[in-house]
Amino acid sequence: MHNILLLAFEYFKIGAVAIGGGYTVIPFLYYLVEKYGWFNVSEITQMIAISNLTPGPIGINMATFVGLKVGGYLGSIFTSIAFMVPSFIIVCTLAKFLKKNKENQYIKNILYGLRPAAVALIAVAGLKILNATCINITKFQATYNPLDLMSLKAFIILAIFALIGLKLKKNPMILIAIAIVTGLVIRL
Amino acid sequence: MKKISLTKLFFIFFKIGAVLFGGGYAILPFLRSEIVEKAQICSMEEVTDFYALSQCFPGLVAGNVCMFVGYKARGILGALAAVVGVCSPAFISIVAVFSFISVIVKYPLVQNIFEILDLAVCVLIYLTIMELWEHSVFDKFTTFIFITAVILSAKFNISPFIIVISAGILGLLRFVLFPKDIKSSKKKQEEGEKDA
Repeated sequence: MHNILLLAFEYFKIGAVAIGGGYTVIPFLYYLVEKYGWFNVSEITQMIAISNLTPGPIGINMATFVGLKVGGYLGSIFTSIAFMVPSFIIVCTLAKFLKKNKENQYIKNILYGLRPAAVALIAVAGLKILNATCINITKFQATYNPLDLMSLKAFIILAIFALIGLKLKKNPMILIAIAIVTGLVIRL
Repeated sequence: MKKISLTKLFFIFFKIGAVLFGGGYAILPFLRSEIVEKAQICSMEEVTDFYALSQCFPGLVAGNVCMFVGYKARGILGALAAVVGVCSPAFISIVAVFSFISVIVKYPLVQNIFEILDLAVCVLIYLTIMELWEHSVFDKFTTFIFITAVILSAKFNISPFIIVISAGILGLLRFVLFPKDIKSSKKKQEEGEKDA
């Protein structure tokens, strides 16, 4: 029980400072390893891999994993909750403030500047995925063969998905299902 | 906006959490279809604002966005229903696979599915961007912010936190320093809102 509370407290602190999503938690996991030795470094790599393969926010996947490792089911529940509490308080406060000041010109103009930046960040996230799955710069730099720059198979699948996606605009979940089936049948 | 029950809110977000693979950005297409179109809790513009703000505050981006939407629908309890809903599938799936985890990760088939899922997520992201585009990037100023932000983030790896905050400050500065310019672009913005 002592360990569980300690871990929950650590995770509460992580939840209060980790800005920018699930991956920002990773450096804190290394810190936990050094400080408490509850798990080892290779287990962190495993955690990241498994969190990517399971549905849901990656930060919660990892929090559950760490909690299970340290304190079983109880540990996983405590860790996940402790992790979300700080942002819950912050977001509710902020949402209340926004609701009250909806028509405020200053807020409106801040949001006017924010929006294109948000779209840019989303675009870059998409680029990074493309870079990891379709484009192989290291291989290209080694051979200078333009065919090596891009994985043709990945690109064709991407194009087909794009067509399906445009048709099924209202139902992105179907595309996820199609992708899982494709993954079972076609080797990338 | 329709009033929505907390149970329904929970299940909408549970569904979203169950199909969410990858980082926080992956949630946007699902918010569009489930929240903006089906449940009609808020507009896509608001979702963009929530997403931008979520990057600037501690916590998971996906979690924060859901709390914002939940709060919009039903206040604090709504935020709670939303965050528990979106996090539950993540929790349940890890508990379910925990005991045979080391076997799963090494399976090439699983890795392969994950890579193809990435492609699908990528397509969904760009479809979402197409929707966000007309309400977010529509004049010289917003185009400038967009291009600068892409370069800063992709090329120089500047933290999204800094990018979003500076973009917000620039928007505010522009309003304070050149209030005259704003009128023309605001008209366009309002026209865009009407279209939506």
